Amino acid sequence: MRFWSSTRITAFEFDEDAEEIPRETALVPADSVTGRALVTVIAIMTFLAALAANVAILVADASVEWRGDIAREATVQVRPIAGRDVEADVKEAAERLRATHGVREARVYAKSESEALLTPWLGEGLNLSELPTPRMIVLKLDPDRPVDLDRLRTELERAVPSAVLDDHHMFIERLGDMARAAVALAALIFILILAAMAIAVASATRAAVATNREIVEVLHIVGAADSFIAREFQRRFLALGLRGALVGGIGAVAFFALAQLAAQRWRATGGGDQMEAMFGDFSIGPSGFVIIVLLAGGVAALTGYLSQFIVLRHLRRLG
Amino acid sequence: MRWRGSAVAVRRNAASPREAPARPRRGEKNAPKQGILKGDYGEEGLNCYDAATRFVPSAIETPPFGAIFGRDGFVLTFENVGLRYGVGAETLRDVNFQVAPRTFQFLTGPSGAGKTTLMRLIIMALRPTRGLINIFGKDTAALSNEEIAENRRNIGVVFQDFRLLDHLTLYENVALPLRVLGREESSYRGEVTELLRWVGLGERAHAFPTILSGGEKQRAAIARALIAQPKLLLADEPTGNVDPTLARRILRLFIELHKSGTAVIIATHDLSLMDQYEDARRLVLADGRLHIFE
Repeated sequence: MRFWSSTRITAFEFDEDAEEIPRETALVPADSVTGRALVTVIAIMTFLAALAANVAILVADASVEWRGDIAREATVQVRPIAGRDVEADVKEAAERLRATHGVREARVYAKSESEALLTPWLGEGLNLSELPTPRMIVLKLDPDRPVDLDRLRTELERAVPSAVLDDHHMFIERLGDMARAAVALAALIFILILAAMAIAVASATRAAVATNREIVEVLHIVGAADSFIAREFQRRFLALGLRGALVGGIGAVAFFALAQLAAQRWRATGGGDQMEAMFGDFSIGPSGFVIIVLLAGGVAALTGYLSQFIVLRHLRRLG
Repeated sequence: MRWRGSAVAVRRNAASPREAPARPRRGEKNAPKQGILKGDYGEEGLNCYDAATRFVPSAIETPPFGAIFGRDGFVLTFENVGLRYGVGAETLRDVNFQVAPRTFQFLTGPSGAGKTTLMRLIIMALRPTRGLINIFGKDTAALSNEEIAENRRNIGVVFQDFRLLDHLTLYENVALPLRVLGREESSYRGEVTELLRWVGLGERAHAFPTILSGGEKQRAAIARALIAQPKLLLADEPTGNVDPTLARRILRLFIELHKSGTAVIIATHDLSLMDQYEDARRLVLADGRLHIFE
């Protein structure tokens, strides 16, 4: 029993009509300029991080597609050599290639078609019939029945010495390197964005502790442990982080939805084709949305954790 | 004994730290006294006070004596405590005193004598430059941050400038010590409402401190200090911002708390306030030293 209950009358006039009691307000005030600025920064950072993560995934997916397309194709070049009948060599090579296990199709380019391939380099309107133009055979490979290209190359060179098999491995490797570089760059940007956001949260937390120094003092005096005070700041910053992450996440989802819409509209144009070659159709799919949701949750959690850690460290240093 | 400045007998550094008082028992000399407020209240005022303090000690849930106050039985022990700010002269020198449970003392002295500094040492907001401070049987120098927080939960503090949090309602300000203890709001609602009514602020529970008068803020600050039923109450100039009538009421409130088993230290330089409660011990700070008038 409390002493103020056990006294017969109260020290002051007793108010019988006291009103109903309100809810619990956050101990660290919610509305401040720093809070609004931090929400904006977190929203922008979440948006950029979601963009970087999804662009990295789009580029990685697109590069897998490019490499797959190229890996399913190979070319054979039959060069005209003095003393050999190029047409007979082409025929011989095509027959051998068609008979090879794993080759789905071997299409022989006619002389005129082979000459047309040189047009971008030599220009139009030239008579190329006198030139020793190599002949092309384009192979479609069956991805389910992989061809031993090294063996095929050796056998082909033995049977038709003027034939050279090109499996585009150099190009594939370069494409792979380029895609990996793009993904690594996006990952680096993603990490830098998160680091910048962490620094912004740390600064905002230190500013909030300084601004609310009087509250911290009062809490200490009424017996609040450092962990209690840190939790109060964490609650406050977690709420700010959630708000910012939500805005940034929704922004990123909206961006990819609009980009997909625009890509579909511009598909037939030159620029649209280039964009599609690079990023696909901008469709991030369910996994992309999951990544955005996880990222937003992670950003909010990081904000809360960082603020608690910084406040706790600050209070322990004060102690 | 009445205190009239230097005309009374002065016992410097009064009780030796080793002289532990016997555990006060009901009816003995150190037991809570039925104090009489001195001053012109009129017949009604005095009657009112007597009624207000008709208190039932057995109703208080008192934890085991040693569990709270340590082996020496004191709430507070200062041994040769000195404190200096920076490289200047010592603000407090060789301060020795003890506070027993269920005692009432005024801490006084001229402005700048170090009253607030002494209070800050007691609430462990400052560490002494030298000497030993023992609170509730624990050496404060050896306490971790968590232990300091735990100790502070047994101390109620009323600041001269109230230190109410402006973004919280009066109800929330008063409930703060219970909230810090981790109690659910529903578990303390009744207690806080009751105490707010008791200090005459029942209708102001929803109000924010910024719109309150000085007296209302003062009472809210007192309520916040009392809500967790501390074992030691410190009040720094609690009547500094209120009129004499309200000052008497506030003193009455502290006396009731004292009678319920709390040790009370009131820092003030209001001699008339001290004269209203003759049974209180006087701790006088002058020239950085503490003089005790029993």
